[in-house]
Amino acid sequence: MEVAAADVEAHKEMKVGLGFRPQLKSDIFLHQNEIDFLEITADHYFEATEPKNAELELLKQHFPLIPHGLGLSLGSAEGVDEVYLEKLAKLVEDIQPEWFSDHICFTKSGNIDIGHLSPVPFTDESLKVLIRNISKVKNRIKTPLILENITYMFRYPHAEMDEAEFLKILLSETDCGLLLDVTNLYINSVNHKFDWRKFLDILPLERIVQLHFVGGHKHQDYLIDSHSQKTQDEIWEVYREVCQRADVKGAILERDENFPAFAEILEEIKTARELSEKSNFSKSHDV
Amino acid sequence: MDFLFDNPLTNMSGPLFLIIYGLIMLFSVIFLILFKSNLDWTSKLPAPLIPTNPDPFEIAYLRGGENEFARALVFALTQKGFLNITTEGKESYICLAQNQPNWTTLSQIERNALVWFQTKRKTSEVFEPYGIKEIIKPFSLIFEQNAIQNNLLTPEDVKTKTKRFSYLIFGAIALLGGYKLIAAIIHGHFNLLFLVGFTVIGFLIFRYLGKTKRLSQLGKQYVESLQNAFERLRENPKIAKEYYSQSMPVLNSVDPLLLAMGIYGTGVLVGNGYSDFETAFGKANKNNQDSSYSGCSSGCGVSCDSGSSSCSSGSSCSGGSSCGGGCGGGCGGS
Repeated sequence: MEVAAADVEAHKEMKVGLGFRPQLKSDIFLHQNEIDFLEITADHYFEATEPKNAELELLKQHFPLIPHGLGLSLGSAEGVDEVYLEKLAKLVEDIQPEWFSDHICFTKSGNIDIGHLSPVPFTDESLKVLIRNISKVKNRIKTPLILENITYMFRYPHAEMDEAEFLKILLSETDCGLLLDVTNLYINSVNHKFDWRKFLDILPLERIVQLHFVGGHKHQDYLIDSHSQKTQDEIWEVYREVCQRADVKGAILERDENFPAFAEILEEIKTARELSEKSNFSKSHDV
Repeated sequence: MDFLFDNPLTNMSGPLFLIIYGLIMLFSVIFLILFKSNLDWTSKLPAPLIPTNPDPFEIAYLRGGENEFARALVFALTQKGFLNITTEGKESYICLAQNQPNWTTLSQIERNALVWFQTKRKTSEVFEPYGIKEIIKPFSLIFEQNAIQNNLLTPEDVKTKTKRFSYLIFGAIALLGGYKLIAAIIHGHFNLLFLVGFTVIGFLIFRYLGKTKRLSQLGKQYVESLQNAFERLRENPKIAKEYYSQSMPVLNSVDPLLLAMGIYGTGVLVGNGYSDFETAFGKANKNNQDSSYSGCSSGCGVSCDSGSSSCSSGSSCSGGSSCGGGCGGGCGGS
C-alpha cells in the first residue's frame, strides 16, 4: 500500500466526470465546465488513426484524462499480453494520468480473445494469477493501477471465499487502489442475494480511489449492467453510502448505450457531485 | 572578360544546363517549402481552448472571412424564418419573409443585417462590397482583432519574410538563368525558349510560394480542433439537431445547425432540408467567380490565400475581408 496509496492520496480531488464516448463529444466540449474529468477507453487509442490521435490531443488539452483498459486480462493464467501491455504503457506515458484502471477479470484464454469481461473464480489460485499479472503490469507502468469489480451472472462452484474477501486480499497483496463500480456491486448483490452494506464492511474502504455509476436494466429475474439507463435510486443509495464511508477521489458516469438528452447526463453528474459533497460535509462534521 | 563568358558554365550544353537549372529550382522550392513551415512561429503556441459557448459567426469569419460570416448570417436569418430564398430562372433571390417573427429575439448583428434585406437581393449581392459586408464590418473588425490577438491569422512579419525570401531565392535563380541567356546570345545561340520558359514557370512557382495562408498554423490547428470537437454535427446535423432539441432548444445557447455551418461551411447543409440554401449560394459563388470577385479557394476556408490574385494588395486581404465571394463555401458536409 505504501507506494500506490501514497501516490494516489497525494492527488488532488478529482470530483465527478464522464466516460468519454464519441457520440457525446460535442456536448462534452460545450459543457466542459460541468465535467471535472474524463475517463477514456484506453483500447480505442492504441494504434489510433490520425483523427483519433487528434481527438486524444484535444481531450488532453481540455480535461484531466484517466485511461480505462478493457483488455489487460489480469485474470488470465497464461499471463498478460506483452503487446497489449506495451501499447497501454505508451498511452499512459503519453497522457500522464493520475492513475489508470482495468478490470478484475479475464478477457483472453489460451490466447483467444473472449470479447467479454469474464469473472475469475474467487480462489487462492486466481489470486496468485492476478497478483503475478498485476506485478508485471506495475513493473512496466509506474502510474498507479486501480482495479475494478465486475458483474457476474453465475458463481463458480468451489469458491474458497466471497468476492469482498477476495478483493480485500487482492488489493492488499498487489497494493492497488479500487475502482468500485457501485452499479456492479448493486447488481451482484441483487442477482446473488447478498447485502451490499455487509460487502462494504469487508472491503478496505481506504483503497477506494474512484467510482463508476450508471443505470442497468432488468431482464427476467436478473439485473444487467447494460450501462444504458439513468442511475436508479437504489444505485444512488450505494453511491451515497460509499461516499460517506470512503475518501473517494473521483466518480465517473459510465453511460454506453441508449444515450439520453445531454441534460439528463449533466443532471446525473450534478447529483453525483451533490451526494459526494454532502458526504464530505457530514464526514468533516463527524471529525 | 573572356573568362566571364567563356567558362564551364557558359560552355555547358543547353540540355545539360537546363537539367541543372531545373534541379536547382526544384531544390530551392523544397527548401522554401520547409523554410515556410518553420517560419510560422504560431505553430509552437498552444491552441486556444474550445469555447463553451462558441459563436458560429466568429468561427465562420475565422474560417473564411467576411463572405463566410455573411453567409452564416443569412442562413441564421433564413432558419429563424425572417428571410426566404427564392429562385427565379437561373438567379436566386433573398427577401424578407411575409410573416416576420418577432425582431426582439434577434441579436444586434442579425437586426442590422435584416435592415439590408428590406430590398429584395440577389444572393450574389451578399458577397459584393458595400452591401451586407459593409453592415457587418464593425463585427468583422472585432472578430479580426480577436483572431489577431490569438495569433490565429498569419502574422505580418511571417508574411513579409516569406515573400521577401521567395523573391530572393527566385532572384538568385533568375540571375543564373539571365547570365546563361546572355552568354548563349554572345555565343550565337538563340534557341532559348526552354530557358525562358523554365524561368517564367519558376517565377510563377516562387510567386505562389511567396504567398501565405490567411490562417496561421495555429489558426488552422484551431479550426481543425473545432471541426474535431463538433464532428458529430457534421456527421449528421439534422439528427444532431433533433437530438439536441430533446435536451434543450439550443446547444448551450448555440443553434447546432448554425454552429455546424460556421465550422464546416454550407456543404454541411446538403440533405438537411436546407439544400436550397446551399444550391443558391453555390450559384452565387459561381456568379461571383465569373465576375472576378472571388479569389479564394472553395475548400474549408483554412486554405484561403491572403495574397490572392484578385486582391488589390496583400494587406487588404489579410483578414480575408476583401477576398471576394467564393471562399470556403464547400467545406465539409460529405
